Amino acid sequence: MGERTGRGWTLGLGGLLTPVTIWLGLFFLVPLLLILAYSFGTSGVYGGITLGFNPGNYLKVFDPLYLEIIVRTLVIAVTNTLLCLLLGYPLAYFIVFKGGSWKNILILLVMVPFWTSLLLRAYAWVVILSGNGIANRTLQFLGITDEPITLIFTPQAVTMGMVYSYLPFMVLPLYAALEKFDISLKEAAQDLGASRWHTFWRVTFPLSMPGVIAGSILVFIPSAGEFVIPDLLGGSRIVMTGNLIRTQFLQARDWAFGSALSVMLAILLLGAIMFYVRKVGAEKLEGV
Amino acid sequence: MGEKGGPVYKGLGKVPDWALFLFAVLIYAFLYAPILVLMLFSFNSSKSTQVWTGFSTKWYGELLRDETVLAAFKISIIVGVSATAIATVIGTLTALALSRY
Repeated sequence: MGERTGRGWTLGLGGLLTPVTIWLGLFFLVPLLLILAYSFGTSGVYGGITLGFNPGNYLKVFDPLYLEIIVRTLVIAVTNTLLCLLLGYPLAYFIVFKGGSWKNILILLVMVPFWTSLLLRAYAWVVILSGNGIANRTLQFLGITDEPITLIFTPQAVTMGMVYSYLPFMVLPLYAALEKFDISLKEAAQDLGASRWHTFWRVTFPLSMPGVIAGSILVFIPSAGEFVIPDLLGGSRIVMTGNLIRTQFLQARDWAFGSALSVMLAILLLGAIMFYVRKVGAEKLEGV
Repeated sequence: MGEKGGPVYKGLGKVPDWALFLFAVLIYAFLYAPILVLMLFSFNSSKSTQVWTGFSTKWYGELLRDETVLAAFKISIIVGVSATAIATVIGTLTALALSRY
């Protein structure tokens, strides 16, 4: 225990890290390398794959048909992230600063829906938005529409389902960031003559930036890879990259193209995150 | 804040307290409405998820009689417990390594 160096130290560290190394190596690194190798392979006519160096799979990604799907995926993921931030920030702010003794219960209430299956929650929206569902009945009852309108299988339905599913991922980091905020800073700003608006934008918001960054990444990454929600709420009309990849692997049996798509999506996400952190990170520093 | 006679800090920027409160209520309604709808219709006497035909617990009875559903439940529990156990062991060891070394 007390040793800082030497054999015992090395053995201890090695012993503790062996399980995670084996686990991640076997179930993360190997599959990742496999996908990378597959993405340069050639798919057989009846499925199966021949390894080799075939850049054709990547060229196929740039087919306008597939590019459109990738662009749509990024647009939906960015919209989802912005909406989650727009809805999640005031909520987290309310819980932290106005929640009082209810604070813990209020944050728990944000997490509880998240305990039920994602699939179940998506199905709930199918029930609500379907042709004769509650949403349409309510609209007709209120006299807003005369006959059922198409609510499901629209880009809006997919976006709403995603906001619904990912909102807790945004609220939790924001809550954690605002929770740490020292209220006396706000008092100081206002004592020094800053308006409430000014105090928020120049003091509270910049200090909650780590929460904004963490929340945005937590929402953006999984929503760009989402395939369950577009499947259920978008039907065959709103295809996202996740659906396309699944189709390539399970139905089209074109593992090579599916792998190339996966690699491209991963690179795109990595690029987007790096750009975002650099951009937002820089502005954050200027603001301080 | 403000109760002890100090300055009163209200709202978020120019947004007043009551608006913030209303906003939070709406978000919670948005989060819970779909789950409540599903729960409600699980007690529906007909198969429909659109029309309410009366209260019944018959679907819960059917669920308990259905071998496939029970088998699926069993698998879910086994998978959930195993995943938690493995993640706890590997995670604890890794966290120990990261904090101690």
